Amino acid sequence: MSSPSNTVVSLSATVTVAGNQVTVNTGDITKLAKQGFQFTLSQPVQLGTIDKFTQWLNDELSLSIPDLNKIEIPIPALQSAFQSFINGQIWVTTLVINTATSTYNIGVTFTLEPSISILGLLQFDGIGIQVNHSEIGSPA
Amino acid sequence: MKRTLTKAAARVAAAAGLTFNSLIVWLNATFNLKIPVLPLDKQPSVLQSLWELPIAELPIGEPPYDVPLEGSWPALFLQVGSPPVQLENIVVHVRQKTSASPD
Repeated sequence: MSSPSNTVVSLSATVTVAGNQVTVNTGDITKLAKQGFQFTLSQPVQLGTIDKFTQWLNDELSLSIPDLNKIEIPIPALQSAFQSFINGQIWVTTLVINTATSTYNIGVTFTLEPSISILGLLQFDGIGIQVNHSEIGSPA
Repeated sequence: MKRTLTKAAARVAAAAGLTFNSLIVWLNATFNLKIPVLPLDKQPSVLQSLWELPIAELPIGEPPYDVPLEGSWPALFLQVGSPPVQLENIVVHVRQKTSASPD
């Protein structure tokens, strides 16, 4: 029989979300008590609105992602575009969460349909955001 | 050996009361581990939901163990305007750490 320190146990869970199969991979669950639960998505997945997604992250994983509705956009021409973004359907492309350290790395993309034109000069077909939170002193 | 069961077998085993927590208890006993079991104090509810999911039966043979189950894992993903998330199966990877392996 192996000693605890020599054995690594991880999980790969296959789930179906809106007809799409998604694989979720965990870190070593033998270190769950000390290092928390870590999981990553193996592929992009559509997860509803970014606003509700961040609420869910905060509620379920005790994270403290700021409320996107409280972000003030000083440029009027961008306010409606930002509102469309936080209300629209998003794809999560990167999701790495460590519940022990409350660190996370979240990447989302949003395709604007129709495109948003600002002042007739700028046209946005899509927006991507990468949010990363690391403990002070931890490696990036 | 990879273990695969039918959904009918999963339903029978679920009726017998086996859960993912039972699998963790079995892993701890088989590999001399100390993975937390229910109740999961100070852990997110997403884990509590996973530990309570019914499983088909305890694995046999060598890892990795393919553990089919039926049920949703509602805490994992949003439920906004979409059918419940269906958890199809879980593959349990057990390996020995070598001196060259990262933690």
